[in-house]
Amino acid sequence: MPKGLLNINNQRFSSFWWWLSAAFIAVVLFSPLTVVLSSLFKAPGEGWELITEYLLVDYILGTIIMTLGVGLTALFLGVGSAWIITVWDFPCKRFFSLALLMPMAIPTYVMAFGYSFVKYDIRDPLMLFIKNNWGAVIMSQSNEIFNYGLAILILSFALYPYVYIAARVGFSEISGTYIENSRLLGRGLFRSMFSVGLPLARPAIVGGLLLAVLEVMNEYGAMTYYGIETLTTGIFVSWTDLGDKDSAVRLAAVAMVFVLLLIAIERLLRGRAKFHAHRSSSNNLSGPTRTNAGAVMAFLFCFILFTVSFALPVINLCIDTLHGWEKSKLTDLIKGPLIDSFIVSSIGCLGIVIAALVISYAARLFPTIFMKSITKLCMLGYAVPGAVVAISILVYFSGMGSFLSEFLGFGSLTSLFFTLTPAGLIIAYFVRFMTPALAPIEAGMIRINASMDEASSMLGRSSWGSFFNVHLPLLRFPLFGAMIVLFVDILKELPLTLVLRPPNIETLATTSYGLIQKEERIADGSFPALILVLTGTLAVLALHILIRKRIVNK
Amino acid sequence: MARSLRVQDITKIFPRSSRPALDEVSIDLSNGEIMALVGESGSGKTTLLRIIAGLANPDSGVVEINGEVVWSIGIKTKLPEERNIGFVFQDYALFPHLNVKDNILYGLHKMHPKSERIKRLIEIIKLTGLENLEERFPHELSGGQQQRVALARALAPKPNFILLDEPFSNLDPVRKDSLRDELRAIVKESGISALIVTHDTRDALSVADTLAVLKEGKLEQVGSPERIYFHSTSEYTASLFGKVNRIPCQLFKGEGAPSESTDILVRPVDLEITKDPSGDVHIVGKVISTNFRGDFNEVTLECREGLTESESVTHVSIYVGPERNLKLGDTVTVRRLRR
Repeated sequence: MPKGLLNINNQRFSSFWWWLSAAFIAVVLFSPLTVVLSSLFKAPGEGWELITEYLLVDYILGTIIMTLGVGLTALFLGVGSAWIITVWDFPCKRFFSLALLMPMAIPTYVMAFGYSFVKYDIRDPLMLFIKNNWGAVIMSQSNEIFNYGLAILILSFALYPYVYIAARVGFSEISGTYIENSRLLGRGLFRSMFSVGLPLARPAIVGGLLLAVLEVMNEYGAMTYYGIETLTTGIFVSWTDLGDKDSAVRLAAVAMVFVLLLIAIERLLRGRAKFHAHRSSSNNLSGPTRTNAGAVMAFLFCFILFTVSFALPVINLCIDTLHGWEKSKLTDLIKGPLIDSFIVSSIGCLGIVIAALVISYAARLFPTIFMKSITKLCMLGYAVPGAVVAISILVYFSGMGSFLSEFLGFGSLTSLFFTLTPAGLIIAYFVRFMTPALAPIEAGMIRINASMDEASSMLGRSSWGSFFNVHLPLLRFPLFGAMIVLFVDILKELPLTLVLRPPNIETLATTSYGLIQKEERIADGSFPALILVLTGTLAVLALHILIRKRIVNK
Repeated sequence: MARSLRVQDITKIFPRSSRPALDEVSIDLSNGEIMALVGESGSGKTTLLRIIAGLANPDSGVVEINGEVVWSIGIKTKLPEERNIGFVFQDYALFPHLNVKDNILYGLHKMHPKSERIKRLIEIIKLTGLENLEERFPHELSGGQQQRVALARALAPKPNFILLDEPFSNLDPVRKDSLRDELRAIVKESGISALIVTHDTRDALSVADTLAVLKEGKLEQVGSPERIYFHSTSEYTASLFGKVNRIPCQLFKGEGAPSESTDILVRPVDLEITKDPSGDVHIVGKVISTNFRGDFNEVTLECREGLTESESVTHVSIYVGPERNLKLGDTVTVRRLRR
């Protein structure tokens, strides 16, 4: 048995139970991903040759262009807005500090749907004009450039908040004394922020940027909407259109290598420097702008960013929804996708939170290297694109099915179980979304002093008793926050759900995507999309209140 | 008298450490007794406390609570939650999500029926003087109040005894003395024995019935505060508890026998200034410094001639009342008080 922190814990089964459960969860979460990586070492099938010859370069190029383009644009938008809000006082600053978060409520593909008018009212006439004047070849080239540019912009609108939050946190953790010192040494506020603030906040900003770029890797809906080919869309093409399972798995492996590369780059950019902010009472970096024109510029930047990344697409979705409004749509939606979505999200959300609690409490009882690695492994799924997770789950369980049918004779039943019930889908959510639950719960656990555990045990409580009476109530804030994030994450999840949902389940995400992308029924598809935005908005506001309340409580 | 706790030959060696953290330590705690475990940091006192509580296990030895062996090689270890010991943590470890009342009730979950629990709660709140604070949360209490809640929580389940880990280190120095006396009064009234770990010898002297001195994992001396203070068995113990003079002297073993050189340890309060240089043993010295210490002045004497024939210089500290006006360079005669 492993050795524990309070070396008392390794003596009773009640404590060991936690260890065993955590190890079990880690195996279930991690083993499907190994299937994908191991495919790299197997001999490729015939279809793979076809893909390497014609498609792979395009997939990789598309992935690089999109990650680079969105990364840089989101970096500019996120750091720029965070900087303006941190450094300057201007009208409506408090409103914008929250409002600039709101695009988080809009799923990337819904953001694309929100800009449907660009596709039809601007791009198509423009392309027709080009074709009439310069011919079809020029048109197809400019069409591609136009699509890339639009996709990069729209994904950046949806994803810059990751960088914005990270930069805000990074700036806020810089002790005011650094900036004050720099100013006393003769540099202005603006230059001080540039020469001191930005380098100090760099690790945080790079971390936020990584999240945004990983979301680009994960993106499926918006990419197909603009006809852009990436590794993620490639997985779908070879799986569904070409029916080539082996190649899909190999593409997934390539995507995973790409992700690992991105993580390595992040580590590199972050550097060895781990800046521990030395806290001081003075943490207020902001001051008035030197001129009124500066204040107007700051206001305009925030106003325009908020308009294009939130107000405009939401208004457009509302208009589209009202366009073909019939009352029956509401009842159809509620009876079908709405209920399905909420049930699936609630089950996933509850299950994941419970699993995260088990893992983090086990890691607390047994703070060994083994448990730490388990925690890290469970967090890997968040970096892996949804399509890759979907493929690995499918391959893993069909492999398990055939294994069982060979040796026990009821394998086909297992396969049926995973294709006809949402079990496979829920497990996939576990793999992909363990991090949003585990990270805050783990952080909350760390904040609970070890003497709390000891005090509880001295007062006669076992590890179970302590968990329910001390840890669980002390973790209520991170728990609640994790549940909100998870619920919305699952609700808006698209690629995983598309692949793994049983035929009788439609979520809001798949409904909206199916209607708008596949059937071009914009008016019908906008309504479920709007509900997604609404739930997302409520979640962002709830989180905001939660965080503020927490700060006030402290 | 019956024993609440018996610790025998406890040895604990931490991995990658050259000397044992605890080296065959044995102590007994009688019913109703307050014992203080004193030592410098690293002496092993907290380790011993955690071993008694069951939060850590020793390498060898026996821990016996109320006559029952709870740790020994070859015996199934009793877990902390099964030992029925109260523990007051250094940072109090009050549960931040529970108010005073619920913090105290936390350890009473095995008490049935509920009316029994409430009875005990009221009893303990009265004992610790926490009336009107029941609904407060830990962060709304002062340091002294927090300590009383921690004490109440530990005493409430009627434990075999309580352990207190550096209970005075987080208190406001101005109020520390009165809070310390208050703690002693509460524990004494509860009738529950207590083992207190502290590095502050002043606290230990005034709070405990018995002192146990630990030095580098070994038990140095056990005894009453008076005994430890005035009859230390080693120079280490003597200097741990306060200033002590080391005075060289000749030991006469009767008529005709050769005299023997040795040092004696004398506390400054055991020396008084005398005008009469004849008779009893005395020292003559020159005042080289005086230090104002409030109730008294600490005066350092330089003695060239003393009880020995050697030429060596000895510095002797004495405590002198403020009414006596000594100047630098004055010569005074000092003799030892009989105790």
